[in-house]
Amino acid sequence: MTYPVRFACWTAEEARTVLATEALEGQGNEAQFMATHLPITGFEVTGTHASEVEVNSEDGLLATLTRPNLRHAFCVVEGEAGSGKSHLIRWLYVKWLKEGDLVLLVQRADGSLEGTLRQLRNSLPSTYRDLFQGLGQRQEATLVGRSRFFQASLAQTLRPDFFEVPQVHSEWCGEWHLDELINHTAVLERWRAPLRILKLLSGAEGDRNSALADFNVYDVAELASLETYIDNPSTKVLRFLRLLKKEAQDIYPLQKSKVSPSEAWQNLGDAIPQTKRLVEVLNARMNTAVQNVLGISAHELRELFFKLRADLKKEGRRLVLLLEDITNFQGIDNQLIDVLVTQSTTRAEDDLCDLISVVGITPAYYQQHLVAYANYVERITYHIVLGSQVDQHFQDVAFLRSESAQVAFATRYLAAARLSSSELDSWYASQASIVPNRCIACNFRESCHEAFGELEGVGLYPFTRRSITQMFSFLEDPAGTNTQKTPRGLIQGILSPTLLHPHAIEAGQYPSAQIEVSSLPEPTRRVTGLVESLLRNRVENASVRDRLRRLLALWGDRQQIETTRQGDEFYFAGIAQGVFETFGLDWLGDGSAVPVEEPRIMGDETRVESISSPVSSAGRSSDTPKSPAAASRTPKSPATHLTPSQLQKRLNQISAWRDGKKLEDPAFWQKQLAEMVFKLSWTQLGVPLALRNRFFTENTILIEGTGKADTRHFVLPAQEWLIDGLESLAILKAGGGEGGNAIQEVHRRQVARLHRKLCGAVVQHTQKKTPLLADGKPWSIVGAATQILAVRSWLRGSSSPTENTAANWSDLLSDELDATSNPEQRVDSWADLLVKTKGSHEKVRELLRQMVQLPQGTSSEFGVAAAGEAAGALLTLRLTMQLSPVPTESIPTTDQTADLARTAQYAAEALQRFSGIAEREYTRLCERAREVEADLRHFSIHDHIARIDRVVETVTSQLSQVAPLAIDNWGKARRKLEDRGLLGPGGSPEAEELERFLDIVRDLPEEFKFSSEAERLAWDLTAPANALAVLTESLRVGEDAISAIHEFATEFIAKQNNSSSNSLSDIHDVGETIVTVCSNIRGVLESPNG
Amino acid sequence: MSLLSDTQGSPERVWSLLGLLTSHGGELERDQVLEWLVPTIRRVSGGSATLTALPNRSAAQQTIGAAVSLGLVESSSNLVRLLLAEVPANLDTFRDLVYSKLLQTTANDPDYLILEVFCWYVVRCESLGGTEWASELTRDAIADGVVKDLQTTDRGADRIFNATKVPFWRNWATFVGLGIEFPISSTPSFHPYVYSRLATELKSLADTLGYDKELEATSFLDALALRMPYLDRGAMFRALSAAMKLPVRQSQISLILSTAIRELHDEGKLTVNAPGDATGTVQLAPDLVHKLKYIKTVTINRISSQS
Repeated sequence: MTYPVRFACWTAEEARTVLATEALEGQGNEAQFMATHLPITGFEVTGTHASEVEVNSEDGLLATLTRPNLRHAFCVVEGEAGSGKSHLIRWLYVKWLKEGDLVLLVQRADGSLEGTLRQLRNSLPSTYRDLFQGLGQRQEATLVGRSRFFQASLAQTLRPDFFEVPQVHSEWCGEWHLDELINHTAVLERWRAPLRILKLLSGAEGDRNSALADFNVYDVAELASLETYIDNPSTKVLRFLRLLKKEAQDIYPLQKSKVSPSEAWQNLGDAIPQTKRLVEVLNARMNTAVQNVLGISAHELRELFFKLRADLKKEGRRLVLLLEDITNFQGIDNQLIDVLVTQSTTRAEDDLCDLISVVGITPAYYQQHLVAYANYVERITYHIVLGSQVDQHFQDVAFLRSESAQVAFATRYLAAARLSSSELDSWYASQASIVPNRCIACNFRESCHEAFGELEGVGLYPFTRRSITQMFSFLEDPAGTNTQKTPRGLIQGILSPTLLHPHAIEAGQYPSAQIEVSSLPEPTRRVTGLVESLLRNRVENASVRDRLRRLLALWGDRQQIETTRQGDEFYFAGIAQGVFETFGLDWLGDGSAVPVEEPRIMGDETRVESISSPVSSAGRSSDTPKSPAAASRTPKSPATHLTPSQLQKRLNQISAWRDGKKLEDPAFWQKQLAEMVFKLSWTQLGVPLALRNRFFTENTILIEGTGKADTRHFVLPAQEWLIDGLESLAILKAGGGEGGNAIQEVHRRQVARLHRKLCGAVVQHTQKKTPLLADGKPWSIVGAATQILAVRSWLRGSSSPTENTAANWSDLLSDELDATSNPEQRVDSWADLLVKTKGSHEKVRELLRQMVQLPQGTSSEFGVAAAGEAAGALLTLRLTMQLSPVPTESIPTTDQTADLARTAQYAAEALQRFSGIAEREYTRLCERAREVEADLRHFSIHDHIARIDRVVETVTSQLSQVAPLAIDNWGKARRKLEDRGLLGPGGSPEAEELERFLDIVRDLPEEFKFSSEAERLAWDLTAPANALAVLTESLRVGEDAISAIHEFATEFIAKQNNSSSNSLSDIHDVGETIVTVCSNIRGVLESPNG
Repeated sequence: MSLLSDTQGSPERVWSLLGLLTSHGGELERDQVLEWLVPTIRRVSGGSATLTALPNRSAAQQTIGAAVSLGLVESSSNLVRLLLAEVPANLDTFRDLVYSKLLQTTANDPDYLILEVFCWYVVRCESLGGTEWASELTRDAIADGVVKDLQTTDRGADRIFNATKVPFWRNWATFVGLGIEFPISSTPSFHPYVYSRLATELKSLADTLGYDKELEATSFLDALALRMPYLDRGAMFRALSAAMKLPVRQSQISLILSTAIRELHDEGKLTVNAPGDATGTVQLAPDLVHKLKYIKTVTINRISSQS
């Protein structure tokens, strides 16, 4: 096929004429205007006489307004800047049969008040022009000069005595001396707000775009910042400035974040009362100051119009005022509206002609100015609203809501641009309804329409249906002050950059950088990582790469980077091969793309052209790239419910990130990573589930560069694998887009790579988080917990180090029962160790249980224990009776790691105390046994106690005052023995066990060697430690009692030797007692064999 | 006993058993092994022990069964004993050990299915031109497909594979580095992805072919086929391709292997060369965005042994 290579079928000059974005530019060019006119439909009609508009169309409106018997109409056309208000108003002007009506059309022109007044004057027939002489005279002063004059006038209006009828907040202005503030030299020199307003009122050099000239909160914040420049202010002014300055602190952040002034007003609520009041004050007085600058009085305009209407009345004519943009009249707008709402029929004098007015306003003007004056709104007879509120900020444009309409709109301009002015004039003069179509005679028609598409025979070249609708959906005002999804936006943002530069096509440079206008936001001009890689790998020439990138981003479907085929035509990313050829670009598709039934293909699946279009098939034109047949893939259900626009937003974030910008909404992306991280096969990676829960939380997964990281964070580097992986993950989770096998395969490969890299990163992070020992090896958390709990189990007598290891294992994992080993009767370190590890042993045990569990799949059951590490630690402990080393550095205690820190602490406590504990206890047991043996003097426990009892009883029966404290102690000690079961009649089992133990100790060689320390500890554990301790102590008390009695008896005899009694019988009695006592004591103190 | 009948014997559990036996000098009474793997854990409530039902030890028994099936231990009624002279030092070397055991299996061995089913995935990806199907098939559909393509008459009438075995097969296949559980779908699914296994096998290949030597693509692929028989040129791949009527394409590399080779090249573990005018090249499976399309030579970079 022959494509229109380097061929532009229009000229820049023709395009410029057709593309005049201001509908009323060049009022003489009605041919161009009508050739590009697309009927405005779908608008809403309200107002007091809305029912008179029978059909909601431009024809319906025209019919209503031009009725001969209509005596008054105040018709407001509301729409965003560029939404077609002017176009509709001009269309009314063109179509208005002017017989009998004086129809005045006032265009936006340069947007200035002066220019608008001048235009009003000039549009009048010469007979009336003198009435308005003087209006709209050019000012001699410079803009800066007028600005100062405006500000000085404004300051005057702030004096409480300025107005005859006090204006809003008059007293407040006087209270704070605001006239002094606004008129201060420093404020006159430095405050930029008045100049900004004057600039807008002067048309902003033709770029006003229906912007309102109002003071706002940012202006007042700026005023507050001038405090330091204001010399010698009055106390009141100074105090007021300080109040403003304080409030400005809340305003600056919003200004920095580019929040619009009206939103800032809303957001700040009651936080800035002084600022808001000052804004109200300034705006309420602005018109007076403006009128002062212009040299017209508040009533002058009204009077001029009354004069005009009176003259027309005399002629029996109606006045029709078609005002494109009311904002152009700001400064005198109130007076103008007063004129427009004044009905001839309500005046008793009946001195004015009838008036039909149609006025264009923006939604902002409607809300901020008309609604503020309720009687104005009530007097709107027809309120035409061109769109609906689609978001917090803007209305849409009803007649461009459908993609078909967008394409149809663009097609009118494309067709007109291909015709010369004379061809258009001839067409218009002929009153033919259909605009001539240059495609009909074009040699390239067939191939061109095949590749680019057409609408009713008019080719879309160099656009396609997708490029028009896609770019339209991308349009955005970089300043955020207007919507760009308007007719004007389409012309300026899509058509003009191409049609005004046909040389780019002729030079083989299209799509050139000129099409990348600011209203197509940067993210929309980017392509996905896949496409970047594709271009990098396939195209060497950087300039060609850039053109391809533009083509793919703006013409193509970025989620369908694949080759498809229908009939003989191949498509790549939904762009026909012919488009590539026409633009002289490398064909990126794979020529081997074949229909779906053949194996191993790229683009073996077909898809329906998409840009989620609500257009019905009936409304669709044949420009749709020939969609290959539908695929037979199993339908997929997306894992997330991102709409196409939400997905696109996410992909734009990734693209910007790839371009080196900061990743937007990192929380969203980190959440995606968190979901993936938690789904990894942790146990296959060798990372216990317990550590997953401790080292990885949604809040600690961080993408590099998106926030401040500390040791808690699992930081993932912002590398290609992560960026590409997240992009593919988002696409696949949203259902995979519409891509076929080839594109899906790349996405799946990138997600698999992300998975692999995450696995490595997770293992590395776990290793990094695991504390190290002094030798640099990782600390075994499982080993430490196992050893701590094993030691506790043994020292509490719950299990023995000589039992089989499995029994130890089960016991140390089990909840603890009461100790049976009498730790309090053991060596100090024994009890001490248990006390030191008592507080949180349950947490250590729970940690261990979690660390070793290997559940089946995602089951919450324990499953099977990961026993290797624990068994190693237990066996080492049993062998060495030493705990393994502990980390050298302390573990930070967080919610997640508190139990790890506690385990390390307990391991350190146990390590310090457990070593040598078996031997120390062994020594102590032996010493006690030997002490007991000595005290028993070869008697049995029972007999020895009986002997002590006998002494005590005999002596106390003879000598009632003998050693009462010692004898009382003995009584207590004896009861302890009784309680312990050691004094049963005929010898108790407890006593027998103790005696057996004493026998064993007696038989031990001096330096007995156990086969292991574990055995020694097991031996310690079998010893009747408690009974031995009680007996040892009791015998000590018994010995003390006997000694005390002996001492007492000895002293008693000594005393008797010195007695004065000479009675023989007394002497005899004492002698008997002494014999008895001494005999008993001797019996206790001596062994049975002497 | 087999990996797909002792399904509760997952790789991590077998690794646990090996560690347990190693700690105990290579053998341990069977009862103790069971107790270690599924311990009786006493719970205390209100100061007294609460008796719970004795733990179900079948998971432990199946773990022993899986280890026996791999030839790693032997088990009698009262003893479990290691059969390894040297137990792997870590989980990664255990992976390699399991893989080498699977490589040694023959068609008569029930564990042969682990690699054979994976081979079925590889061939099916070739037939369907991608991997997407793998995450869309139900377990039943996977099992039916495997049986249809692999169950030859000489394998008896009993189904060699069923839906229940799918997750357990997936567990072993992912463990030895043949794929991943794909993170997109809500239910677990297998995505064939042999990067990890191939990265490991490069070391073995380098032992025979040498590091930093430019190898003809065919030499590299032929050597690789011995270590990864379920991929291109491998005996298992050839046999299954024939059974599934996939045309033999000597000069074209499968999608699964192509992906791994490209990523290993990107990571610098091997270097693929294919000058534009080279002849005798082997074609990689199409990849929309990757610059590597052909292989003339392959160099195994020494870095692979260190990374």
